[in-house]
Amino acid sequence: MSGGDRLRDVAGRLLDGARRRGIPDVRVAAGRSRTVTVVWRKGRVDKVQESARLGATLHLYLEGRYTSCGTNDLRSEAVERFLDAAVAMCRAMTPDPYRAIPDPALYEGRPEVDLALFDPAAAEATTEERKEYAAAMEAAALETAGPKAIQAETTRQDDEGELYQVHSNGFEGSQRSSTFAGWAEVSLQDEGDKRPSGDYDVAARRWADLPAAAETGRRAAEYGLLRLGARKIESGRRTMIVENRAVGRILGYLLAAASGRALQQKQSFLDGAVGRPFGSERMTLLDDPLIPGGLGSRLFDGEGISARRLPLFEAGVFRNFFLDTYYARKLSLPPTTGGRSNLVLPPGDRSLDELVAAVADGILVRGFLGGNSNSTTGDFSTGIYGTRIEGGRLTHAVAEMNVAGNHKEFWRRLVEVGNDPWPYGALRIPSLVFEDVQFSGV
Amino acid sequence: MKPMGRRKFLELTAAGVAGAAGLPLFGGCRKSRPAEAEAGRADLAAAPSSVADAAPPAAKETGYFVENFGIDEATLRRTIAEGLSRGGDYAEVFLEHKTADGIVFEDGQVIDASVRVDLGAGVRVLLGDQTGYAFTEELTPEALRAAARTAAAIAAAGAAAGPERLARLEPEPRYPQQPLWLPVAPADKLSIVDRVGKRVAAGDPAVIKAAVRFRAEDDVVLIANSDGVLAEERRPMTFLYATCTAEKNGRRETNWFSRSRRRGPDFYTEELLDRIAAEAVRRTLLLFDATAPEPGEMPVVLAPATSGILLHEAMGHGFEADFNRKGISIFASMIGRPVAREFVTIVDSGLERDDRGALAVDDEGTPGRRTVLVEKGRLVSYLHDRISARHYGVEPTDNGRREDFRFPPLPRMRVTFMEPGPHAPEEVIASVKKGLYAVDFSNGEVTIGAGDYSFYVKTGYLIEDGRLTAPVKDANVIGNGPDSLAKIEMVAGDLALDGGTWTCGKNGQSVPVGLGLPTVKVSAINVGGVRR
Repeated sequence: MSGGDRLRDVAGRLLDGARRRGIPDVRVAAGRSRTVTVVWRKGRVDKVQESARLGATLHLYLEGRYTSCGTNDLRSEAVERFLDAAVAMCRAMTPDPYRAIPDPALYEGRPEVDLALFDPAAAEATTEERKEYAAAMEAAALETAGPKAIQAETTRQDDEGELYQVHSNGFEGSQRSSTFAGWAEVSLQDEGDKRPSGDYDVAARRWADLPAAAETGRRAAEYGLLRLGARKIESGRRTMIVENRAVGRILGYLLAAASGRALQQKQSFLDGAVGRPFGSERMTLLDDPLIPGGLGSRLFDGEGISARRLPLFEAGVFRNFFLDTYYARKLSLPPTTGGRSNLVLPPGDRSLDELVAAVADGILVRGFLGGNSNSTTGDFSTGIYGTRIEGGRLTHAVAEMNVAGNHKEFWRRLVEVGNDPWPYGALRIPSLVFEDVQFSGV
Repeated sequence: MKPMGRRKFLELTAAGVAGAAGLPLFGGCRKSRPAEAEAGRADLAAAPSSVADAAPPAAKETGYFVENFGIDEATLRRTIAEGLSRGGDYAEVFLEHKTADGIVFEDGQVIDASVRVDLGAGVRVLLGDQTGYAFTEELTPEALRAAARTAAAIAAAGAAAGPERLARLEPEPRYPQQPLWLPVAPADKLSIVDRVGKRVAAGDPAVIKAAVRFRAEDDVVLIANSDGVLAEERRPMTFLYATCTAEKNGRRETNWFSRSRRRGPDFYTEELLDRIAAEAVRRTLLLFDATAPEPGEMPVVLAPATSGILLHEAMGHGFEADFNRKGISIFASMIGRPVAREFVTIVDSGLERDDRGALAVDDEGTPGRRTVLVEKGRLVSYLHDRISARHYGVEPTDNGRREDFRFPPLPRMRVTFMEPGPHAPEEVIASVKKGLYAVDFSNGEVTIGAGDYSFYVKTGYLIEDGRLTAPVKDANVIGNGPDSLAKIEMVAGDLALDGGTWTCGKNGQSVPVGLGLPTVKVSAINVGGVRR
C-alpha cells in the first residue's frame, strides 16, 4: 500500500468501527510522517536520528456526548479494543447541547489552489547531503565567531508527511507536505564564567527557499557576538524595538486572548473589543492560511472548515476571534477557525537599521526569557535580552532585564513596523517599534 | 510549525501540559494540541490477542512485553546485536506502551474526555559521544531490527558482540507497579473531575467560570542494553488542574491550583478534591487585591515548596552534564568549587515516593538514586547520563530521561530541592527592609551559557520593614544563576516538596519533574514591574 492508501485504510477502519458501535457522527484524521535529523559538532556527526510515524485521531459525537481519542497501535485487535474504550468513554459522558459535528456548510468553498507545501526534493535528500549542509553551517559559524568560539552545534532536519481527514457527514481532505530546517547555535567565551550563545534557525516547505548553510552558520555566530559583555542598565521607560524573529513570544501572549475558549471562559481581555480600536494605526494583523509555501498554510483546518483569510486587527481595530465550532455555538457566533495558520503584519518602509537610527534611547530586543501574560487582565511581564540603542547607534549588549505592561495599552505604543517580515516561519512579522515601554534593570 | 529539537528550549511550566502522546505528526511538526484534546488513555486488555502473531515466548519468561507483544529476551538481544553490528560501543532498546485518559470540565459539566494509546520502541547506538537513534511504532521483531540497523549506522566498522544474556534489574519500586487507571470505569474517572469542577463553581459568589483538566496514565516501559541490563517497570501518573475565573466590580481575574502524583484513583480523596477546589478559588480572589510590584532590583524571599523553581532554573539546568561536557554551561568549570554559602545543600533525587519526578530506574537502565549537587556550598556533581558519565569518568546518576520512545535520553532533573538550613522563616522575612516575598509561580526559563534565568511570580507579597504587606501578582523575576546562588543569604528549616504539575522542557522533550525549597532569601534579583 502507498502511504496515502494506508492512511485511507486506517481512517476507514476507525470510521466504520465507530459507526458499527452506534456512533452516528465521527471525524477521523490519519497522519504519517518521516523525519531525519542530523546534528553536527566538532567536525563530525553528533547525532543521526531517523523515524517514521503513523497514527490517527478520532472524534466521536453521540447526541451531545463527545470524546476525542488517538492511537498509533494499529494492529487490528488493538484497534477494536481502542474503539471499544473510546465508545465506552463517549457513552459515559453527560450530553452537552453545544457539542455537534461541524456543519457541512463550513466544508464548502475549499480553495482550489496549489499551496506548494510538498517538495519532491524531500524524498531525494541523502544523509550524506544533510551532513555536508550541517558541516557547512558549523564551518561558517566558527569562522565568523573567531577566537572566542567554544563550539558550534548545527542541525539539519527534514520532514515529509501526509494527512488524510474524513468526516461521517461529508468531509474528505488530504494534504502532503515537506519541511526543510536548519539551525545553528554558537557558544562563546565571555568574561568570567559566562558563555553566551547565539542561534539562527530557518525552515521552509521548499528546499530552494532555505538559505545557504553558510548564511545560517554566520548569522548564528553574529547573534552570539552581539551578546558578549551584556549588562543590565537602569530601570526606566524607553523605546523598544523587537526584532522580527523574536516577535513570536509577545504576539503569542496577545493572541492567547483571541481564542474562542478564552472568550467563552471569560479569560480574555479582548472580550467586547470586536469592532473597537485596540492598538495603534500600525496594528494590522491577518491570519492567512493561503500563502504558497507557508509553514502554516492549509486548505482546511482540523475541523474541516475551509481555509480563508481572517483579519484579526485592521488599523488598530480588533476584528475576529479564533472560533472553533464548539465555542462558536456556545457564544452564538459564526465559527471562523479554531487555530492560527500564518500570521501576516504588512511591512513598513524602513529597514531595521533605519529604525534603530531613529531611536535616541532604547533597546533592540533580540529575544525574551521566561515571562508570562495574564490573558484575563492583559498584564504581562517578561525577561528580555538585546542591544542598547543610544543616539541612534547600537552601543552594548543588555541582559537580565524585564519589560512589563498591559496589552490594552501596550499595543497603542506600536509606532512603526519594519520592512523586514521574517521569511522562515509561520509568523511573517517585521520588526516592531514600541514607544515608552517600562523596562526594569538596576 | 517548527521542527522538534532544533532549539535548546529549557522551560518549566506549571500548566501540566505533559508530553504529546500518540498524536499523528503531520509533516514532522509538533502540533500543540488544544488543552481539551490533550490527554488520552487506552485499553490494555489483560489477554492480548497479538501474541498469536508473534513468535511463541520462551518458556516461563514473564514480563509485560513478552506476554503482550511476544518481545522476549532473545529478540531484545538480537536487536542489541544488530545495533552493534557496525561497531557501536553501546546499544539500548526502549519499549513503551502508554495508555492515558484526559478529561475536561467547563460550564458545569464534563465537556471532553479522551482515550489515547501510544506504542513504540526506540533503539539507540553510541559510539563514544556520538548517537545513532531510530524508533518504530510497531512492536515486532522485524521492526525492532530495522530500527537497530538504522541506529547502527552512526558507526562504520566491524561488528561488536551483543550481550550473551540479559540480567533483570529489580529496582526498589518508587510508585505502584500494577495497572492503576485501566481497571477504573469511565464514569468513576468522570466523577472525580465533575466533583472538583462543581466545588470550584460553588466556591464563592464571585466565581463566574470553573474549569478542570485531568489526566491519568498507565505507562509501561522496558529498557535493555548492551551492558546486559534489562529493566521493566510501570510508571503511573495523574494530575488534576483546576482553574477559576471570578469577577468583582467589573474586573476579572483567573488563577489555578493543581496536584500531581504517580498514583491511582486513591490519590483523589475527598479532602484533596476539596483542597484543590478551595485553593483555586482562594488564589483567584487574592488577585483582586494585588497589583504589579514596582520594578527594579531587590531582595527576594522565596516561600517554601513551589519556590523550588529557583533551583530548577537558576542551577539545575546548568548542572546537566551534557551542557558541561560540551563546555557550554556557565557551570562548566565550577565543579569542586564553592558556589554558595556553607548552609546551602542542593539535591536531585529519584527516590521521593510517588512524586511526579520520582524514577525507580532511568531510561538508560540506571537504578534510582539521590544525587547531591551542591554540598555545603560546594558544587560536587553534575546530573549525568551515560555519555557524560563516561566523559567525566563517573557513575551515571540516574538522570538519563526521555519524553517517550521517540527520543534518545538526555540528562534531566527528577525532584530537585534544597536541604533545610539554620534560619527561622520569620527571621528571614524580618531581615528584609524592602523586597518581594514570592509565593506562587507559573513558569520559568534559562539560558545555559550566559546563566541568566527567569521565573514568573503569579502571586506574592511586598516585604516592608520586615513584614509582609500588600499582595502582588504577575511579575517576572530575572537573575543570573551563579550570581543568585552566591547571593543566597539565608535558608530556613521548613523544606517542603511541591506537589504541582511541573513539566520541564529541553531540546523539544517534556518530562514531569518535582521540586521543593525551604524559605530562602536571595539578596538581590531583578523584579519586573510597573512604576505607578
